[in-house]
Amino acid sequence: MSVLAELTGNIGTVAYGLAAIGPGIGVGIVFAAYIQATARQPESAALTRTYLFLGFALSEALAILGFVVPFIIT
Amino acid sequence: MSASVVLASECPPDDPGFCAPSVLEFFPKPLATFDLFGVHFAITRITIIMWIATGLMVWFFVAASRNMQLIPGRRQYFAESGYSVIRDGVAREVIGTEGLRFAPYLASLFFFILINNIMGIIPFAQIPPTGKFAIPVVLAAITYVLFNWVGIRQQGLGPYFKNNLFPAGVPKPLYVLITPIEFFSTFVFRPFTLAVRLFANMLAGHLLLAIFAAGTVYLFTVGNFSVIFAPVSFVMTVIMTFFELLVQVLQAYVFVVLTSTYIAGAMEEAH
Amino acid sequence: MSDGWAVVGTLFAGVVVWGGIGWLIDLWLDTTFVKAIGVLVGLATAIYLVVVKYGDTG
Repeated sequence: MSVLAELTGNIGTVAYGLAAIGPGIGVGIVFAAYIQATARQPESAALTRTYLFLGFALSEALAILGFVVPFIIT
Repeated sequence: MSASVVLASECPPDDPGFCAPSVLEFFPKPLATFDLFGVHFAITRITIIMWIATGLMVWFFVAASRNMQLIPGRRQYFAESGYSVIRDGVAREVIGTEGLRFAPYLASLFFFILINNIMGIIPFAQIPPTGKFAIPVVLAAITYVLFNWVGIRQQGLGPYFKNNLFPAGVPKPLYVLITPIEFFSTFVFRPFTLAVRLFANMLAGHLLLAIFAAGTVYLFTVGNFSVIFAPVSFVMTVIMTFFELLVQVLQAYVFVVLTSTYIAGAMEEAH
Repeated sequence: MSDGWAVVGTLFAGVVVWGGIGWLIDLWLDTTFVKAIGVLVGLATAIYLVVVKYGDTG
């Protein structure tokens, strides 16, 4: 069976591109929730800031893992 | 027109195929070279652009601060507005009243980076000297030395490192895990990203503009049906030029804001 | 605005530092999996560090 079409390149970069979709949306949702909550009740801004950074860090962690895994699994 | 594009984009005039501009754009033929103390210096087109740009900026500010009146003339008004953007908008805003001491350095930094970035879209120059890695590295190194020196002088050598490397509110055994991260994040990551952010933005922007411009010329002169795509490439060149202007101003501003944030952080750690 | 860069920087720093230490341990002990453990430990520590430094009435 002969090769009809071929695509070469680095699949790690493709993998990161796919891995960045989910965390991008996730971070947007976290910040949107924080902004809405602060707009409704500004005094709660200091209370919810902990959850803001926790949510952001957890979502971003997946994107960073997606960046790092192609380097580890060589 | 194609001759000047070839001259500017360091591409050998070969007929078949499109010679895309690459990173070699930033390494043109040197006009003069000399060796000093074993270091090899080369004066290229980019060096001359940087000298002219910095000379223009220095001339403007010196000329505006000569014969200063209480009611400013036009040139003095422009210079004062520009300086006040940094002095009030950044130095006083981020650092506080202590920040006025750093306003001259921050303003010089901002205008130097701004004028050198803008050289990327000025005709006949069209290459930002800040896209050569050495220049952002030196600027970031100066900032690094400055904010560390300010912090050490303000708080003493021991307390400065203790406040930076051992954040409060962490149970004792976790310090083994956390301290290397804090050390890396403050003393390695900050200056590195400061330099790389400016350099990468300028490099990428310049290559983008160069590819669209060279592509327009190529599509016009290639002589087959591809010529219908040439206006698309031309419109993209115009759009990317305006986008590049935004990015250049923004990157200069971000560099200065981050520098002042690091200085503020180094000065106020006494909590 | 600079808080955002600081948080991302801390996350990256955690991964790079502990992934790097894990990689060096790999070279020393001739194993292959310590890198991944190092990255995960570094990531978890960095998330904890971000919450401690920037949350909590920050």
